[in-house]
Amino acid sequence: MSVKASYAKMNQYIHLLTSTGIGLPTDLWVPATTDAPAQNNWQTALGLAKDLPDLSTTISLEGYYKESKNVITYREGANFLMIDDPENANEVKWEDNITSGIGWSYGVELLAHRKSGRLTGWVGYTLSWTKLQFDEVNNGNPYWARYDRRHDVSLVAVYELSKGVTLSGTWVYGTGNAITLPLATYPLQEHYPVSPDWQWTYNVQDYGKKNNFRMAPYHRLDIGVQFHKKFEKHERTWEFSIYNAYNRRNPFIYFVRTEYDYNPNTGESTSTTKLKQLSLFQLIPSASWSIKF
Amino acid sequence: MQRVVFFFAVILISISSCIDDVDNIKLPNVEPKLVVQSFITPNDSVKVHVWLSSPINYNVTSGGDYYDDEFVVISNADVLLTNQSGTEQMLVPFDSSLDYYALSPQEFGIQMGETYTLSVISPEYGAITASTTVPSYVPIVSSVELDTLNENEWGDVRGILTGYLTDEGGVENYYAAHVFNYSEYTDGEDTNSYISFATRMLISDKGYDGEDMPFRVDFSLSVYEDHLVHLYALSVDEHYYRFHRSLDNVGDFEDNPFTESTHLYTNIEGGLGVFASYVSADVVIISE
Repeated sequence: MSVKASYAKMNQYIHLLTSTGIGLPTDLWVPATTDAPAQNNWQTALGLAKDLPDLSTTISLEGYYKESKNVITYREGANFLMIDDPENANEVKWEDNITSGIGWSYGVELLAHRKSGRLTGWVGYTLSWTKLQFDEVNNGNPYWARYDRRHDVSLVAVYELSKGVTLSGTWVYGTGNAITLPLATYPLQEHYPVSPDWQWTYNVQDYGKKNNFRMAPYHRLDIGVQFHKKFEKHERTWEFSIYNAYNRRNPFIYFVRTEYDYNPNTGESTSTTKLKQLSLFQLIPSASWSIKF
Repeated sequence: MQRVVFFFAVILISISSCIDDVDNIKLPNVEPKLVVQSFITPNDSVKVHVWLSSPINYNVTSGGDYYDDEFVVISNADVLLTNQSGTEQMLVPFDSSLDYYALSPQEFGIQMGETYTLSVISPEYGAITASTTVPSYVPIVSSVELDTLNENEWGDVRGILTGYLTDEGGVENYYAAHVFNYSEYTDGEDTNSYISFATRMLISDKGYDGEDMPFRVDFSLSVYEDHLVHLYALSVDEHYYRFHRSLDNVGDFEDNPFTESTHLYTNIEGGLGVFASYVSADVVIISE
């Protein structure tokens, strides 16, 4: 049994800017500048590890806590691709679109790793929480980060079926991303100080609290079989595998669409507002050939 | 042949994306909220709009077609306006001809520097409260200038209105410069005036405390309309400033897949909307 503890202070000179809406997910990496100073973090961790020689397995359990300052995010309503006139491109400062705040994350990780024998691989489980707080976002209240992942599971196994033939399988599971979903619509008017009233009514969306909605969890199974053959100076491997073997439709993005229907017999019109998901990368079979010197 | 069909079927499944209805997770279910909007100013009527928000009931079919986007106006609420000391308090009656609650300045006079609380109690949809402090400073337009440039061969004109507002020192202030162009048309013997465009700029005195603050408003004028530009300079409270700033984001970036969701600013406790105040300087009229 071994015990390990660590404390680290880190400065990160590159920032991750992550979108929070239900639209196209965009992760942008931007450099630290005077207006967006380097992210300042400290992290502490405490872990236990034990070898189980009879099972050729190492089990480790680790807890961690991390705090970050100068975390950045988009201001509400911001748009990173805001250059609408090339003539003004040099006048546009991307820092105007962001605001800085704090973040904190904590959790525990459990890992069982078998490194030798006919069956090798690992089982990993992470239970974690990640929150952010910005004075100018969500009325200053803390909210879940987009990539806050309450449960994260990974199972990886490689089995030596016979000499030169191995089977492999990977199953991953993760809690869905935290996103902001429109909850209602409402009217509001811009103020014009003229009489009689000259008004334009906006149809505005009410989003409730920031990142208060979870996408469906992500999970998939990848399986494969490998045929190895050793030659005098190299090793050749044929691999046949299937990505997302049970054809799970994991959500890539969500979007809202209102569908209208008209019944000509009754003259009745109906509408249904639907939340739709776009899924990418369903079942993908593949074959590969490789040599290793 | 079957192998070829199978091969292409697998390829098609693999590379195609897929759009589905989301029905495997719990979708939000929210109750309608009161939406209140009122901008008060001295020497003008108190006007209070009260609507009801329309919850998005995902995957629930309801009546209504594409053009049916009317919102419910709440006309049976108790709308109460009170000053800070409680010495002035009055129910604002609903005016069915205007579709909002209104009080004339003779019935309830709004005072500069005074804090007012608005409460709306609906028998069906609960209660909201909000407060605003009317600015105590009348903005001063220290200079204003209109430049015009020919924009195109049809004679349309690009207008650039620039000027300075003098800030009141020592306190945090917000301003709005509204610019309108009035044009006229004749209908028989009648001559009518209409607003051909309206735009504005929001100004904070951050970095200009007690100094002259520059403003610039750009716009276009058609050759077919009169050019009679009006500048309305307002001192506004923070709620007015923050609400319109967030409203600008909604207007600028809607339908843009790269934009962030915009939580429209609200100071309404228990509901949505805005209760804000302003004080207006004399209108500056600039004709070309």
